[in-house]
Amino acid sequence: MISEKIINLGCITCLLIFSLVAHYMDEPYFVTLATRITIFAMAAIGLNLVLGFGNLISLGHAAFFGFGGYISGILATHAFNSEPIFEWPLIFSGSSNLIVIWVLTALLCSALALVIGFFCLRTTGVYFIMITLAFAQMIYYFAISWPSYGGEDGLSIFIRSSLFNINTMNGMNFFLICFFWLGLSLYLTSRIIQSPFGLALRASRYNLDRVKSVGITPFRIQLLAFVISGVITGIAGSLYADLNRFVSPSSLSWQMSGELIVFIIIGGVGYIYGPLIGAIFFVTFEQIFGSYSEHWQVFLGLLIILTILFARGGLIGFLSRSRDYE
Amino acid sequence: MTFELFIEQLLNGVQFGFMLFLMSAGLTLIFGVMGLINLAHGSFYMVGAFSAAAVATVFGSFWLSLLASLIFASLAGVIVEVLVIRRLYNRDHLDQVLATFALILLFSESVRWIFGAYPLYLDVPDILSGTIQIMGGIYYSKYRLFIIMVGLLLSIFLFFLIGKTNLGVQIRAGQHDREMISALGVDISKLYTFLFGIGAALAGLAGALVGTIQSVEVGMGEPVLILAFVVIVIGGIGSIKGALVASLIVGCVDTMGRFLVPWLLTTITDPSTAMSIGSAIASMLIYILMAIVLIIRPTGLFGKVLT
Amino acid sequence: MNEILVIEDLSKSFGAVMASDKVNFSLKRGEIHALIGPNGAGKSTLIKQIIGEIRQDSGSILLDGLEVSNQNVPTRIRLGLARTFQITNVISDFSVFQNLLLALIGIEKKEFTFFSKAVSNKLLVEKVNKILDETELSEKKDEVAVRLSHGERRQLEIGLALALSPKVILLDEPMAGLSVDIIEKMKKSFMKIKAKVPVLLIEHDMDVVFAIADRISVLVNGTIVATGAARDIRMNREVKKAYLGID
Repeated sequence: MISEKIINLGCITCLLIFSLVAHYMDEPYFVTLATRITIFAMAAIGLNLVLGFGNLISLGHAAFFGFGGYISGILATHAFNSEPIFEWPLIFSGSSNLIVIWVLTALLCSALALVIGFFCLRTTGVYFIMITLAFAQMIYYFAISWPSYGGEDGLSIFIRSSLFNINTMNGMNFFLICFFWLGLSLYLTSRIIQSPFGLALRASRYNLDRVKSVGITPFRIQLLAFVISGVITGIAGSLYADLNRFVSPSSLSWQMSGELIVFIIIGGVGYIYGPLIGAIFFVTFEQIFGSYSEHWQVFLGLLIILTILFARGGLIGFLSRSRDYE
Repeated sequence: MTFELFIEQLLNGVQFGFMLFLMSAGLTLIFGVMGLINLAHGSFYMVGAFSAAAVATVFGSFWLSLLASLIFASLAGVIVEVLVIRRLYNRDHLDQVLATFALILLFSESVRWIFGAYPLYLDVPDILSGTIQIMGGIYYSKYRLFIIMVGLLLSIFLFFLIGKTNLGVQIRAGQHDREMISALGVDISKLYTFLFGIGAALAGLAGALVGTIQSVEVGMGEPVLILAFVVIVIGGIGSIKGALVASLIVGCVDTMGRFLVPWLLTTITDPSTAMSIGSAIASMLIYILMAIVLIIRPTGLFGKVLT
Repeated sequence: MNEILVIEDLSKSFGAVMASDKVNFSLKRGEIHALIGPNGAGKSTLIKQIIGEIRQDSGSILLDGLEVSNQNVPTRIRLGLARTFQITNVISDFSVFQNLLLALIGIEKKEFTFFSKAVSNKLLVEKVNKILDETELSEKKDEVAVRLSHGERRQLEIGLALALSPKVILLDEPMAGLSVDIIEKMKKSFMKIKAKVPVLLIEHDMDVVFAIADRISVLVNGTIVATGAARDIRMNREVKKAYLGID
């Protein structure tokens, strides 16, 4: 058995080394691939906070991923065209400054998560799953039928938004920005999980009455966790839009929500690094089987079913039996 | 807007509602009895549509293609239940969600592999093509009327099956106490397989029927599946009556919304803006409806009230 | 005031039966006060009135000088009247330590602290360790609750009651079904607890009662017939009469 810490450290180092090697061998495709892994992992880390530790199975986290992407896209487009988004009470004509974009993404995603969470957390179990899905669909259809920002065709970002004097159009630079965010969200999650708040969140997954009996209101704990989770996934979505310089309703689709859950489960539910390992595995699997057959998702489907039926605990659970966050 | 148009849209809403009912009936029974959340239910809808399209192409018979949709969808349901689903009954929702998500990938890609990526089209048989005068000067599509009739007959059949038959007693008992019915000597695993097959068959038939109005393509099942989720959440999980009522509500609200909201907006703004804003709002209507229902009754209109 | 819990003239009748008939009794700081009595003497009715599950017909219950006889159960708990075996739902996937930590997080209103490690909060951890020590659970602190033995689980429940920082702790048959060596451990633990929280002990096992109770009250036919130290109770005529039927 390998200890979980070694697996975690190994994965994150591999990702960094992989992209560095790709960069120095002048293979921008692989740098982009590593960036995709990084962003997907971060999005799933956000979801994992509620799903893995609070047992709140949100099948609608694409809402945050796509919303973050659209915020990024809309701000950049307006800035590029110098058309104000609104003129009252002051003229605001978008921004292509990543700091501004991130701050706004965080604010707006937390507002969205607050609303969605407020409604969804009134329910439990299977209702929760379906309602989170329904909310995400609502936003998805809205994005499709709202014509101002491309509707079904999506929205292109002409120039990747900037951060200080860094050239973000350089693949490696952008990878490092995303890598920084990945590290930050991993660190944040591990702190949250071990905090009193995290303990209350984890407790509320098992025994609501017990949590209530010591004077904690589970709804508030879960709502706050949902908001933090939505912000992390939203920022990942914003990065993803900048990576592709494109955002479309497909980033809001329920397949996206499903894939985020796939990352978590493949990696192992309830492990902080689970989503990272799941994302690495997923993208690698896609690359290998995708080059062999365009119908690679058949094999992915089979693999997921087999994992669920026979290898519970995901990859980390398979390789190590301990949980370091305790 | 004319009265005729209004009636026509209303009937379209009813027709859509019955389609949703065929989808959600199976879904709500499967959840109510087996406690399983099945994302792959939309795949049976797709399987039904594709097998109908294939049979219609080979044999040229619409009626044979409907039969084929029932047979192939229920067959797919039974195989999936035996191989995968029955291992998930005692698992938590997360495993069920993911395994059935994986089933969608499996089904969708397999169908794309077999049939290719291009949409197929089904023809309406001569006897059902054209319109029919229903009242006064109002004409309505014969085919859509036929769908409404089929939906109505199947609803009656389902209510009879659950309300009056021995099987229905077992199903209802299963919703309340699973141990009890196995203690009464009912072969639970056969009952589950059978029920799953019925649910899949209904979904498949819905797919074949709708396939004639829309195109038959990979991924056609999921949007309907999500609407069916909205339906059973509004109706209350496990309740067939709730599913029927909510299906009709959702069908009508969605159809009428797409038609009425832009029309209402033209009174306050120019037509093209009204059209775009209106369709965006209309697409969200049923979700807003669902949110309202949940605020008032968190377990749906006909769901058991949790204490 | 030395008396933390005072029961005055508490009466409760069910039809013609006087389940409690002008019961008077008190619990002092630092003591274990055992309430004993033959079956049917009205012990459980009395306990239910104290914790608030049954409302008395007349009389009063004073907790630390405060009249609580008209308060409901949660209010009485909040005011400091803890009873074990009501909080039986421990979180079975959590370790003993985490279970206690969670209770303290709730009580200390620390549930929205979400950046610092829970285990590096000195105040909380100190309190948890103290409770672990008082309940003789220090060695088992990292054990997951589901793997605890019957007795250890009960110790944890007492610990969870202590986490509420109660003024009075009411132990209802804590030794029932426990093995001899666990009983010895529990006895030690009660002696530690009483210094901090006075214990009202309801117990069938007379060896335990006579070994650890500072005072004993004997309830017969709904009234306290005697209150005193173990030695006095053993010699008391009324008690002998009630238990042995001799005069």
